[in-house]
Amino acid sequence: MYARFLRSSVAVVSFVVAMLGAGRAHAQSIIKHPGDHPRYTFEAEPHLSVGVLDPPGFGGGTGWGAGFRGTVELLHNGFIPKLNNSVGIGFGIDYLRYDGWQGPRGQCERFAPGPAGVPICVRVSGRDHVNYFYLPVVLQWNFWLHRKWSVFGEPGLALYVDDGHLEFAPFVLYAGGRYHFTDSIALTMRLGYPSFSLGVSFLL
Amino acid sequence: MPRLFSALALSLMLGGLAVGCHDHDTCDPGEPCDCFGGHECYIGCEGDGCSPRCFQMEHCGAVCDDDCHSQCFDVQECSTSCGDDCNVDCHNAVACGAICGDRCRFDCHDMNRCGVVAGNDSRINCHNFTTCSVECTGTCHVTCASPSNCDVKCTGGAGLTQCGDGSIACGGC
Repeated sequence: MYARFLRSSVAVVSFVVAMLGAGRAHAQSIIKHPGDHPRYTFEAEPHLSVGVLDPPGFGGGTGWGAGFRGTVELLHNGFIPKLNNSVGIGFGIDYLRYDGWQGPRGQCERFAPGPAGVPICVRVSGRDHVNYFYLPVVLQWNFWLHRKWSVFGEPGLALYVDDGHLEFAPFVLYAGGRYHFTDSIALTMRLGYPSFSLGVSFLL
Repeated sequence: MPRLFSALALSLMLGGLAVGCHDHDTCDPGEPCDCFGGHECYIGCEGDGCSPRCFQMEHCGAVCDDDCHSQCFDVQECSTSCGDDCNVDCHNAVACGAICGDRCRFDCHDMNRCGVVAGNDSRINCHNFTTCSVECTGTCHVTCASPSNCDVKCTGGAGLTQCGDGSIACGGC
């Protein structure tokens, strides 16, 4: 679990650093212009999702799916007054189908013939897939680097449904970036745990 | 006010990092682990001292290590594979089979077919059955009732012995 968290954290931090570096390098940086970013109250973001890290619970392998994230802007000017940052709260739903299962209950992989004609299972394997639904709630902290670029971090928590069981994940963590085609439409990539996503944001 | 709300929300979410993970329905040693109410379920439990339980299913089974306490009832076909010092209890089913190691306790009753391959120093008890087949790879003691005839094979070299109380043994009574 901690190794998994460490891996995802390293990926997230690397991504944010890279994005910040890209922002600094550009001449049209707006990061030091507080409030100088599109005004919107709600960000609607449908996306495709992929889970490359083992999810919480008993799923495993790689997960593919789709989802939606809706974020309400709470602060047009965020926690750092001298920077162009904003804060929102995001609610999401993601469906992912994983191709691995690590739970204790599965299929019998090998039977041995037993007395009285009773086949006896001697090896249990995982299932071939498991469906997950995630319902994350995150705090989205945005940094507006450039007219075309913004990045964000999203710590939060999530409910998830794994094999029909409703469970609670005490933390989820994402970092992402947007490429703004216009003031109201952006391409959004999100890396983190438990899933990555690529979608389109509509800033409404 | 929104700034305060945001700060509180951030603190709450970061605080969640300190909370441990919670996995559901694990089959860990010393904890009950059930499968019930479905077509098929096979439980794998690693470590000694597991307690798998199957009921109200068509096909169900458990694979566990030493000191396993397996129960199975109201199942069409049930199986257990375990190490030494197992305790397998099957009843009110169609068929129950087990492969267990030394010092196995196999109790099968109110069953159409009971079958077990048991290790050394095992005790087998079948009652209210149609067929009870036992293969002992070492010494064992087999008690059968209703009917009193079990099919016992001593495959480990111990001699088949008819005991005075009507039971059968591989090795001495």
